[in-house]
Amino acid sequence: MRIKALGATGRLTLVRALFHRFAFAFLVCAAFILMVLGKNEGVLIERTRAVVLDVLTPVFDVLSRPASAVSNSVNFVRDMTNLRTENERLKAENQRLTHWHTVASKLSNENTVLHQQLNFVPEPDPAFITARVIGDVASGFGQSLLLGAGARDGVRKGQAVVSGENLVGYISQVADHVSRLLLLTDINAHLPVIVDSTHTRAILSGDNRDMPRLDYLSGNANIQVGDVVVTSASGAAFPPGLTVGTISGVSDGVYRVSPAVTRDQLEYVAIVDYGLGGVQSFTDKPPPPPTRRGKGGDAKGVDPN
Amino acid sequence: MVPFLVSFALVILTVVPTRLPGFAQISPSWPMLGIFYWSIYRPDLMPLGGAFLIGVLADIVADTPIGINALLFLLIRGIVVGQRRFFLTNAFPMAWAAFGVIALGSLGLNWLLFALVQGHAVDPQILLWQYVILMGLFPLVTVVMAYTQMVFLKDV
Repeated sequence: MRIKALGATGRLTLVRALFHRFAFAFLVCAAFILMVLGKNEGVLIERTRAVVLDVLTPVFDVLSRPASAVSNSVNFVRDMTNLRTENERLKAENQRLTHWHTVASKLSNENTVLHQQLNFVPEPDPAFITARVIGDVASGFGQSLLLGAGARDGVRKGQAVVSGENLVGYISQVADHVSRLLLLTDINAHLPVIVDSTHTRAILSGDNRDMPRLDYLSGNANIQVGDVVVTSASGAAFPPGLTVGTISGVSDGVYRVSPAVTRDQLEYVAIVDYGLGGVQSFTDKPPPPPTRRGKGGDAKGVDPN
Repeated sequence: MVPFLVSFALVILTVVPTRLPGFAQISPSWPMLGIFYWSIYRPDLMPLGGAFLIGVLADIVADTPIGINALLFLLIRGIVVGQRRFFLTNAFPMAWAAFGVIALGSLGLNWLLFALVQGHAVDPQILLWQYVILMGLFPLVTVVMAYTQMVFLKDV
């Protein structure tokens, strides 16, 4: 009776209002369903993420260029103001390096002779892809970079990403033309490492703060601030000895590591295929057995989740 | 389309590398500012579906669990449209303060949902910084969007 009393316009408004209420509830349900599907890392969700990232790649690529230009000009001005001190620093460094150059050439010659005497078969240099950083995702909920190279360029999930000899992170997501580099500071990044001076094994875990923490330390460690942290061979994820960072301090019994590379320095990075498993999720298919290194070993990595 | 495109541009803005030391770790949720503004001034052009889609895109781009931002933006749109009269009749500082309350609730819910989906919680201290920056950006982004509205949507 009351609906009838509303008249045609009133009924239309009522239907519209009902529809709107229904739409809200429907979309809220859809959001929850997406969360549940996403938690299970479904193929569909992963594929959707990849497709959307691929479509947006040209936009990221274009927009990241002015950012580089601005950053370069800022650096230029900073360099100009620091010219004098920088010159003195370089002179001192040059002196030091000349000494080390002499030492290195002596050692290199000795090394060549020893290699010949041992009939040593050198390991092949790892294959790598150089990619530009086209996006920087930074929030309290995640720390990653988008790289302008994807599956078409040979990038695979789990591969190490380095800058110079320093580890930056590893590939966590691959689309056709773009990939995501999970930084060591991300809350999902976990990596077996060794504190070089004490040979203490540990797991480096990110927590979205500037400095990741060291968990599961082995043995009674006498770790000092400034000690270098490198990758370990455990888990067959990465080759041992890549520099990760230095111990920056300890608070409440938790050691923090200052990463060797900070994200604002990065414009280009190298995605390296060491022929090892890389850091893989347990839910991923196991990578093909290593072909380049005879030792084999199971390619089980650390679960990044 | 303008509100949607502006909000979409804000999603893209979250991943443009600034290469500014320190800023990168605490970059705020730009699209939230867009959803908030358009829900007040042109809710007809920022429908529920639009807010949901912007949220899904924000989740994909930022690699957060998909659906979280979609839900948050839906809720923000719902609350703001419900309280539209308040925002339209009060002066800017009041809108700013109200945004402060909504953004705080949104970050809190985001923290909770993230912890539930991912299985581990993030340090609230980082989120606090993110919140401070978001609040600081609010007037700036509002001015830019008001200008966009004047230029593109004057007659619509």
